[in-house]
Amino acid sequence: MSTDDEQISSLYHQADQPGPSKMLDDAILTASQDAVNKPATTRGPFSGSWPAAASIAAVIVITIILVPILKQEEPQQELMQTARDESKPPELTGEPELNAYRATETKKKTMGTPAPASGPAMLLEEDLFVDDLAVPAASSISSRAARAPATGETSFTEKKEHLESGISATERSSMQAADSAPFAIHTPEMWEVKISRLIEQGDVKAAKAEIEKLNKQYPKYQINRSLLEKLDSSYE
Amino acid sequence: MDDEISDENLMMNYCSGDADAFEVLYQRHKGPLYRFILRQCRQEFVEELFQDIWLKVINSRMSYQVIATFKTWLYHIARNRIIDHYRRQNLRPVDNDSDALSSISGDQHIQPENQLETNNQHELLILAVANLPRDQKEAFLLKEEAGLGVEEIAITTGVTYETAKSRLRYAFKNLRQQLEIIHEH
Repeated sequence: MSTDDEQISSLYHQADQPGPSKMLDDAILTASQDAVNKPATTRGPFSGSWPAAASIAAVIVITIILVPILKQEEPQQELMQTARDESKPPELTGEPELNAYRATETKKKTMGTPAPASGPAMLLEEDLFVDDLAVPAASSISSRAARAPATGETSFTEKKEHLESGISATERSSMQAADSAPFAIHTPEMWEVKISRLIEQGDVKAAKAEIEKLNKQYPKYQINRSLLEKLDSSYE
Repeated sequence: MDDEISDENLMMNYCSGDADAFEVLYQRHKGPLYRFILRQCRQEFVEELFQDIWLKVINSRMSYQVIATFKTWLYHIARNRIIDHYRRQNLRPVDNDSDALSSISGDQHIQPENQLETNNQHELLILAVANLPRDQKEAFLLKEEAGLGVEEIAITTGVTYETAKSRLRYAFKNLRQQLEIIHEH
Protein backbone atom coordinates (compact mmCIF):
# COMPACT_ATOMS: atom_id res chain seq x y z
CA MET A 1 0.00 0.00 0.00
CA SER A 2 1.45 3.30 -1.04
CA THR A 3 1.59 6.41 1.10
CA ASP A 4 -1.27 7.92 -0.83
CA ASP A 5 -3.42 4.93 -0.05
CA GLU A 6 -2.59 5.22 3.64
CA GLN A 7 -3.55 8.87 3.57
CA ILE A 8 -6.86 8.04 1.96
CA SER A 9 -7.49 5.35 4.59
CA SER A 10 -6.66 7.76 7.35
CA LEU A 11 -8.84 10.45 5.86
CA TYR A 12 -11.71 8.00 5.49
CA HIS A 13 -11.60 7.05 9.18
CA GLN A 14 -11.55 10.69 10.19
CA ALA A 15 -14.90 11.17 8.59
CA ASP A 16 -18.15 10.80 10.48
CA GLN A 17 -18.72 7.28 11.74
CA PRO A 18 -22.46 6.80 11.83
CA GLY A 19 -23.87 3.75 13.62
CA PRO A 20 -27.18 2.10 14.30
CA SER A 21 -29.69 3.78 16.57
CA LYS A 22 -30.14 2.76 20.19
CA MET A 23 -33.56 1.36 19.37
CA LEU A 24 -32.09 -0.88 16.68
CA ASP A 25 -29.39 -2.05 19.09
CA ASP A 26 -32.01 -2.98 21.68
CA ALA A 27 -34.16 -4.83 19.16
CA ILE A 28 -31.26 -6.96 17.95
CA LEU A 29 -29.94 -7.71 21.42
CA THR A 30 -33.42 -8.64 22.64
CA ALA A 31 -33.81 -10.97 19.67
CA SER A 32 -30.49 -12.61 20.48
CA GLN A 33 -31.52 -13.17 24.10
CA ASP A 34 -34.93 -14.53 23.13
CA ALA A 35 -33.29 -16.97 20.74
CA VAL A 36 -31.12 -18.32 23.53
CA ASN A 37 -33.95 -18.51 26.08
CA LYS A 38 -36.26 -20.27 23.62
CA PRO A 39 -34.24 -22.98 21.89
CA ALA A 40 -34.99 -23.34 18.22
CA THR A 41 -37.38 -26.18 17.57
CA THR A 42 -38.08 -27.66 14.21
CA ARG A 43 -41.71 -27.22 13.48
CA GLY A 44 -43.20 -30.25 11.78
CA PRO A 45 -46.11 -30.08 9.36
CA PHE A 46 -48.47 -31.29 12.11
CA SER A 47 -47.30 -28.85 14.75
CA GLY A 48 -49.11 -25.63 15.49
CA SER A 49 -52.77 -25.02 16.12
CA TRP A 50 -54.25 -25.89 12.73
CA PRO A 51 -55.11 -29.54 13.53
CA ALA A 52 -57.32 -28.42 16.40
CA ALA A 53 -59.02 -25.82 14.24
CA ALA A 54 -59.49 -28.35 11.44
CA SER A 55 -61.01 -30.87 13.87
CA ILE A 56 -63.50 -28.34 15.18
CA ALA A 57 -64.47 -27.34 11.66
CA ALA A 58 -64.94 -31.00 10.68
CA VAL A 59 -67.18 -31.67 13.68
CA ILE A 60 -69.32 -28.64 12.88
CA VAL A 61 -69.67 -29.63 9.23
CA ILE A 62 -70.55 -33.23 10.09
CA THR A 63 -73.09 -32.09 12.66
CA ILE A 64 -74.73 -29.70 10.23
CA ILE A 65 -74.93 -32.36 7.52
CA LEU A 66 -75.80 -35.45 9.53
CA VAL A 67 -78.28 -34.20 12.13
CA PRO A 68 -81.10 -33.38 9.65
CA ILE A 69 -80.49 -36.68 7.83
CA LEU A 70 -80.67 -38.64 11.07
CA LYS A 71 -83.83 -36.83 12.10
CA GLN A 72 -85.45 -37.77 8.79
CA GLU A 73 -84.48 -41.40 9.14
CA GLU A 74 -85.54 -41.78 12.79
CA PRO A 75 -89.23 -42.70 12.20
CA GLN A 76 -88.23 -45.17 9.48
CA GLN A 77 -85.76 -46.81 11.82
CA GLU A 78 -88.40 -47.16 14.53
CA LEU A 79 -90.73 -48.89 12.09
CA MET A 80 -87.94 -51.16 10.91
CA GLN A 81 -87.04 -52.01 14.50
CA THR A 82 -90.61 -52.91 15.34
CA ALA A 83 -90.90 -55.15 12.31
CA ARG A 84 -87.59 -56.77 13.18
CA ASP A 85 -88.68 -57.45 16.76
CA GLU A 86 -91.87 -59.07 15.56
CA SER A 87 -90.12 -61.37 13.15
CA LYS A 88 -87.25 -62.11 15.49
CA PRO A 89 -87.13 -65.63 16.93
CA PRO A 90 -86.76 -66.04 20.69
CA GLU A 91 -83.24 -65.76 21.91
CA LEU A 92 -81.86 -69.20 22.50
CA THR A 93 -78.52 -69.46 24.09
CA GLY A 94 -78.12 -73.11 25.04
CA GLU A 95 -78.10 -76.16 22.78
CA PRO A 96 -81.04 -77.87 24.57
CA GLU A 97 -83.17 -74.79 24.18
CA LEU A 98 -82.29 -74.59 20.52
CA ASN A 99 -83.27 -78.21 19.97
CA ALA A 100 -86.56 -77.70 21.80
CA TYR A 101 -87.33 -74.68 19.69
CA ARG A 102 -86.58 -76.61 16.51
CA ALA A 103 -88.81 -79.46 17.66
CA THR A 104 -91.67 -77.06 18.35
CA GLU A 105 -91.26 -75.45 14.98
CA THR A 106 -91.30 -78.87 13.31
CA LYS A 107 -94.43 -79.82 15.25
CA LYS A 108 -96.16 -76.62 14.21
CA LYS A 109 -95.46 -77.45 10.59
CA THR A 110 -96.69 -81.01 11.02
CA MET A 111 -99.90 -79.92 12.73
CA GLY A 112 -100.42 -76.97 10.50
CA THR A 113 -101.29 -74.67 13.37
CA PRO A 114 -99.06 -71.71 14.16
CA ALA A 115 -100.73 -71.19 17.57
CA PRO A 116 -98.80 -71.46 20.82
CA ALA A 117 -98.25 -74.76 22.61
CA SER A 118 -101.30 -74.50 24.85
CA GLY A 119 -103.53 -73.45 21.94
CA PRO A 120 -103.60 -76.65 19.88
CA ALA A 121 -104.31 -78.83 22.90
CA MET A 122 -107.24 -76.68 23.91
CA LEU A 123 -108.66 -76.62 20.41
CA LEU A 124 -108.28 -80.34 19.98
CA GLU A 125 -110.01 -80.98 23.24
CA GLU A 126 -112.83 -78.69 22.19
CA ASP A 127 -113.08 -80.45 18.83
CA LEU A 128 -113.09 -83.71 20.63
CA PHE A 129 -116.26 -82.84 22.44
CA VAL A 130 -117.93 -80.64 19.90
CA ASP A 131 -120.51 -83.33 19.02
CA ASP A 132 -121.01 -83.99 22.63
CA LEU A 133 -121.84 -80.35 23.22
CA ALA A 134 -124.55 -80.53 20.60
CA VAL A 135 -126.40 -82.97 22.79
CA PRO A 136 -128.98 -81.27 25.02
CA ALA A 137 -127.51 -80.36 28.32
CA ALA A 138 -130.19 -82.18 30.23
CA SER A 139 -129.14 -85.56 28.86
CA SER A 140 -126.67 -87.32 31.05
CA ILE A 141 -123.58 -89.13 29.91
CA SER A 142 -124.89 -92.37 31.08
CA SER A 143 -128.18 -91.92 29.28
CA ARG A 144 -126.26 -90.93 26.25
CA ALA A 145 -124.23 -94.04 26.45
CA ALA A 146 -127.36 -96.09 26.87
CA ARG A 147 -129.19 -94.28 24.12
CA ALA A 148 -126.47 -94.63 21.59
CA PRO A 149 -127.05 -98.15 20.44
CA ALA A 150 -130.76 -97.45 20.03
CA THR A 151 -130.24 -94.38 17.93
CA GLY A 152 -127.38 -95.89 16.01
CA GLU A 153 -125.07 -93.17 17.14
CA THR A 154 -121.57 -93.98 18.17
CA SER A 155 -121.07 -93.75 21.87
CA PHE A 156 -118.98 -91.03 23.45
CA THR A 157 -116.26 -93.48 24.43
CA GLU A 158 -116.26 -95.05 21.00
CA LYS A 159 -116.12 -91.70 19.36
CA LYS A 160 -113.34 -90.62 21.60
CA GLU A 161 -111.39 -93.76 20.98
CA HIS A 162 -112.01 -93.37 17.26
CA LEU A 163 -110.78 -89.85 17.29
CA GLU A 164 -107.86 -90.63 19.49
CA SER A 165 -106.83 -93.49 17.26
CA GLY A 166 -106.50 -91.00 14.41
CA ILE A 167 -104.26 -88.79 16.47
CA SER A 168 -100.61 -89.43 16.46
CA ALA A 169 -98.74 -90.24 19.64
CA THR A 170 -97.04 -86.89 19.55
CA GLU A 171 -100.30 -85.04 19.32
CA ARG A 172 -101.75 -87.14 22.12
CA SER A 173 -98.89 -86.38 24.44
CA SER A 174 -99.32 -82.75 23.61
CA MET A 175 -103.00 -82.95 24.48
CA GLN A 176 -102.25 -84.62 27.76
CA ALA A 177 -99.71 -82.01 28.58
CA ALA A 178 -102.23 -79.32 27.86
CA ASP A 179 -104.82 -81.06 29.93
CA SER A 180 -102.56 -81.17 32.92
CA ALA A 181 -101.37 -77.66 32.44
CA PRO A 182 -102.57 -75.25 35.08
CA PHE A 183 -103.54 -72.68 32.50
CA ALA A 184 -105.72 -75.08 30.46
CA ILE A 185 -109.12 -73.57 29.82
CA HIS A 186 -112.19 -75.80 30.24
CA THR A 187 -115.65 -75.23 29.04
CA PRO A 188 -118.43 -76.24 31.48
CA GLU A 189 -119.22 -79.28 29.39
CA MET A 190 -115.57 -80.36 29.41
CA TRP A 191 -115.56 -79.90 33.13
CA GLU A 192 -118.63 -82.16 33.47
CA VAL A 193 -116.87 -84.84 31.47
CA LYS A 194 -113.86 -84.58 33.70
CA ILE A 195 -116.06 -84.78 36.84
CA SER A 196 -117.88 -87.78 35.45
CA ARG A 197 -114.54 -89.48 34.83
CA LEU A 198 -113.45 -88.80 38.39
CA ILE A 199 -116.72 -90.22 39.78
CA GLU A 200 -116.27 -93.34 37.68
CA GLN A 201 -112.74 -93.69 39.02
CA GLY A 202 -114.14 -93.38 42.55
CA ASP A 203 -112.33 -90.15 43.37
CA VAL A 204 -115.35 -88.45 44.84
CA LYS A 205 -113.43 -85.76 46.67
CA ALA A 206 -111.71 -84.61 43.53
CA ALA A 207 -114.98 -84.70 41.66
CA LYS A 208 -116.63 -82.53 44.30
CA ALA A 209 -113.70 -80.12 44.21
CA GLU A 210 -114.04 -79.87 40.44
CA ILE A 211 -117.76 -79.14 40.80
CA GLU A 212 -116.94 -76.33 43.21
CA LYS A 213 -114.42 -74.96 40.77
CA LEU A 214 -116.94 -75.20 37.97
CA ASN A 215 -119.54 -73.35 40.03
CA LYS A 216 -117.01 -70.72 40.89
CA GLN A 217 -115.89 -70.28 37.27
CA TYR A 218 -119.35 -70.45 35.73
CA PRO A 219 -121.79 -69.38 38.48
CA LYS A 220 -124.78 -69.24 36.12
CA TYR A 221 -124.15 -72.59 34.52
CA GLN A 222 -126.65 -75.33 35.41
CA ILE A 223 -124.69 -78.50 36.14
CA ASN A 224 -126.14 -81.67 34.74
CA ARG A 225 -128.53 -83.04 37.33
CA SER A 226 -127.68 -86.68 36.54
CA LEU A 227 -124.05 -85.90 37.25
CA LEU A 228 -124.95 -84.61 40.66
CA GLU A 229 -127.13 -87.66 41.30
CA LYS A 230 -124.26 -89.87 40.26
CA LEU A 231 -122.03 -88.04 42.73
CA ASP A 232 -124.60 -88.46 45.50
CA SER A 233 -124.93 -92.15 44.81
CA SER A 234 -121.17 -92.47 44.96
CA TYR A 235 -121.21 -90.97 48.43
CA GLU A 236 -123.64 -93.57 49.54
CA MET B 1 -11.08 -8.45 28.76
CA ASP B 2 -13.64 -8.77 25.99
CA ASP B 3 -10.97 -7.91 23.47
CA GLU B 4 -8.97 -10.95 24.50
CA ILE B 5 -11.65 -13.33 23.36
CA SER B 6 -11.73 -13.95 19.63
CA ASP B 7 -14.85 -13.42 17.58
CA GLU B 8 -15.04 -17.13 16.86
CA ASN B 9 -14.95 -18.04 20.55
CA LEU B 10 -17.57 -15.46 21.35
CA MET B 11 -19.79 -16.89 18.65
CA MET B 12 -19.24 -20.40 19.97
CA ASN B 13 -20.13 -19.20 23.46
CA TYR B 14 -23.30 -17.66 22.11
CA CYS B 15 -24.12 -20.95 20.40
CA SER B 16 -23.82 -22.57 23.83
CA GLY B 17 -26.41 -20.15 25.24
CA ASP B 18 -24.27 -17.23 26.40
CA ALA B 19 -26.26 -14.17 25.38
CA ASP B 20 -23.58 -11.82 26.74
CA ALA B 21 -21.09 -13.19 24.22
CA PHE B 22 -23.35 -12.06 21.42
CA GLU B 23 -23.55 -8.59 22.89
CA VAL B 24 -19.74 -8.29 22.85
CA LEU B 25 -19.70 -9.46 19.25
CA TYR B 26 -22.40 -7.00 18.35
CA GLN B 27 -20.64 -4.09 19.97
CA ARG B 28 -17.47 -4.92 18.07
CA HIS B 29 -19.02 -5.14 14.64
CA LYS B 30 -22.17 -3.07 14.66
CA GLY B 31 -20.53 0.22 13.52
CA PRO B 32 -18.44 -1.13 10.64
CA LEU B 33 -21.27 -3.33 9.42
CA TYR B 34 -23.73 -0.47 9.58
CA ARG B 35 -21.45 1.75 7.50
CA PHE B 36 -20.70 -1.09 5.08
CA ILE B 37 -24.40 -1.15 4.32
CA LEU B 38 -24.85 2.61 4.50
CA ARG B 39 -22.19 3.31 1.86
CA GLN B 40 -23.86 0.93 -0.59
CA CYS B 41 -27.59 1.35 -0.09
CA ARG B 42 -30.17 4.06 0.32
CA GLN B 43 -30.66 5.32 3.86
CA GLU B 44 -34.25 4.10 3.98
CA PHE B 45 -33.19 0.45 3.61
CA VAL B 46 -30.14 0.48 5.85
CA GLU B 47 -31.76 -0.31 9.18
CA GLU B 48 -33.90 -3.07 7.72
CA LEU B 49 -30.90 -4.71 6.09
CA PHE B 50 -28.77 -4.27 9.19
CA GLN B 51 -31.41 -5.99 11.35
CA ASP B 52 -31.90 -8.80 8.84
CA ILE B 53 -28.19 -9.56 8.78
CA TRP B 54 -27.94 -9.81 12.55
CA LEU B 55 -31.07 -11.95 12.74
CA LYS B 56 -29.50 -14.23 10.17
CA VAL B 57 -26.48 -14.54 12.46
CA ILE B 58 -28.73 -15.28 15.44
CA ASN B 59 -30.74 -17.90 13.59
CA SER B 60 -27.63 -19.55 12.17
CA ARG B 61 -26.05 -20.04 15.57
CA MET B 62 -26.92 -23.75 15.69
CA SER B 63 -25.19 -24.44 12.37
CA TYR B 64 -22.22 -22.18 12.91
CA GLN B 65 -18.86 -23.82 12.35
CA VAL B 66 -15.46 -22.20 12.58
CA ILE B 67 -14.37 -22.65 8.98
CA ALA B 68 -13.34 -19.07 8.30
CA THR B 69 -13.06 -16.05 10.56
CA PHE B 70 -16.25 -14.67 12.05
CA LYS B 71 -15.74 -11.41 10.19
CA THR B 72 -15.51 -13.18 6.85
CA TRP B 73 -18.70 -15.09 7.62
CA LEU B 74 -20.53 -11.97 8.83
CA TYR B 75 -19.65 -9.90 5.77
CA HIS B 76 -20.41 -12.78 3.47
CA ILE B 77 -23.92 -12.79 4.93
CA ALA B 78 -24.10 -9.01 4.61
CA ARG B 79 -22.93 -9.02 1.01
CA ASN B 80 -25.47 -11.68 0.03
CA ARG B 81 -28.26 -9.79 1.76
CA ILE B 82 -27.36 -6.59 -0.07
CA ILE B 83 -27.28 -8.37 -3.43
CA ASP B 84 -30.62 -9.96 -2.62
CA HIS B 85 -31.95 -6.52 -1.78
CA TYR B 86 -30.85 -5.20 -5.14
CA ARG B 87 -32.53 -8.10 -6.89
CA ARG B 88 -35.79 -7.68 -5.02
CA GLN B 89 -35.86 -3.97 -5.67
CA ASN B 90 -34.82 -4.60 -9.24
CA LEU B 91 -32.20 -1.96 -8.68
CA ARG B 92 -28.62 -1.52 -9.46
CA PRO B 93 -26.38 -0.57 -6.59
CA VAL B 94 -26.83 3.12 -6.07
CA ASP B 95 -25.10 5.72 -4.05
CA ASN B 96 -26.67 6.52 -0.74
CA ASP B 97 -26.27 10.26 -0.91
CA SER B 98 -27.89 10.69 -4.25
CA ASP B 99 -28.83 14.33 -3.68
CA ALA B 100 -25.29 15.31 -2.98
CA LEU B 101 -23.97 13.11 -5.74
CA SER B 102 -26.34 14.60 -8.26
CA SER B 103 -23.97 17.53 -8.26
CA ILE B 104 -21.12 15.25 -9.25
CA SER B 105 -20.62 14.70 -12.95
CA GLY B 106 -21.26 11.37 -14.49
CA ASP B 107 -17.66 10.88 -15.54
CA GLN B 108 -16.77 10.08 -11.96
CA HIS B 109 -15.12 13.42 -11.35
CA ILE B 110 -16.16 15.94 -8.75
CA GLN B 111 -16.83 19.23 -10.40
CA PRO B 112 -14.78 22.18 -9.10
CA GLU B 113 -17.89 24.30 -8.57
CA ASN B 114 -18.96 21.92 -5.83
CA GLN B 115 -15.77 22.35 -3.93
CA LEU B 116 -17.09 25.30 -2.03
CA GLU B 117 -20.05 23.31 -0.94
CA THR B 118 -17.90 20.43 0.31
CA ASN B 119 -15.09 22.08 2.07
CA ASN B 120 -14.60 19.24 4.37
CA GLN B 121 -12.23 16.69 2.88
CA HIS B 122 -13.84 13.91 4.75
CA GLU B 123 -17.16 14.58 3.14
CA LEU B 124 -15.49 14.73 -0.24
CA LEU B 125 -13.92 11.39 0.33
CA ILE B 126 -17.24 9.86 1.34
CA LEU B 127 -18.78 11.26 -1.81
CA ALA B 128 -15.91 9.87 -3.82
CA VAL B 129 -16.37 6.46 -2.28
CA ALA B 130 -20.05 6.56 -3.07
CA ASN B 131 -19.15 7.29 -6.65
CA LEU B 132 -16.91 4.24 -7.04
CA PRO B 133 -17.95 1.29 -9.20
CA ARG B 134 -19.75 -1.31 -7.12
CA ASP B 135 -17.03 -3.98 -7.02
CA GLN B 136 -14.35 -1.42 -6.16
CA LYS B 137 -16.52 0.21 -3.54
CA GLU B 138 -17.24 -3.17 -1.99
CA ALA B 139 -13.57 -4.08 -1.86
CA PHE B 140 -12.67 -0.68 -0.41
CA LEU B 141 -15.35 -0.89 2.30
CA LEU B 142 -14.37 -4.43 3.23
CA LYS B 143 -10.85 -3.24 3.74
CA GLU B 144 -11.57 0.03 5.53
CA GLU B 145 -14.68 -0.83 7.51
CA ALA B 146 -14.38 -4.57 8.15
CA GLY B 147 -10.63 -4.49 8.29
CA LEU B 148 -10.26 -7.50 5.99
CA GLY B 149 -7.08 -8.32 4.14
CA VAL B 150 -6.94 -9.01 0.43
CA GLU B 151 -7.25 -12.72 0.93
CA GLU B 152 -10.29 -12.35 3.17
CA ILE B 153 -11.87 -9.93 0.71
CA ALA B 154 -11.37 -12.56 -1.97
CA ILE B 155 -13.05 -15.21 0.18
CA THR B 156 -15.92 -12.92 1.16
CA THR B 157 -16.67 -11.78 -2.35
CA GLY B 158 -15.98 -15.16 -3.94
CA VAL B 159 -13.27 -14.02 -6.29
CA THR B 160 -9.62 -14.85 -6.71
CA TYR B 161 -6.96 -13.16 -4.70
CA GLU B 162 -5.68 -11.32 -7.76
CA THR B 163 -9.12 -10.02 -8.63
CA ALA B 164 -9.67 -8.78 -5.12
CA LYS B 165 -6.26 -7.12 -5.10
CA SER B 166 -6.92 -5.52 -8.48
CA ARG B 167 -10.33 -4.16 -7.37
CA LEU B 168 -8.79 -2.67 -4.29
CA ARG B 169 -5.98 -1.04 -6.26
CA TYR B 170 -8.41 0.50 -8.75
CA ALA B 171 -10.61 1.73 -5.92
CA PHE B 172 -7.73 3.68 -4.34
CA LYS B 173 -6.62 4.94 -7.69
CA ASN B 174 -10.08 6.24 -8.45
CA LEU B 175 -10.41 7.95 -5.09
CA ARG B 176 -6.99 9.53 -5.47
CA GLN B 177 -7.81 10.85 -8.91
CA GLN B 178 -11.06 12.35 -7.70
CA LEU B 179 -9.43 14.00 -4.75
CA GLU B 180 -6.50 15.29 -6.89
CA ILE B 181 -8.90 16.92 -9.28
CA ILE B 182 -10.54 18.70 -6.39
CA HIS B 183 -7.20 19.85 -5.08
CA GLU B 184 -6.10 21.05 -8.53
CA HIS B 185 -9.14 23.27 -8.67
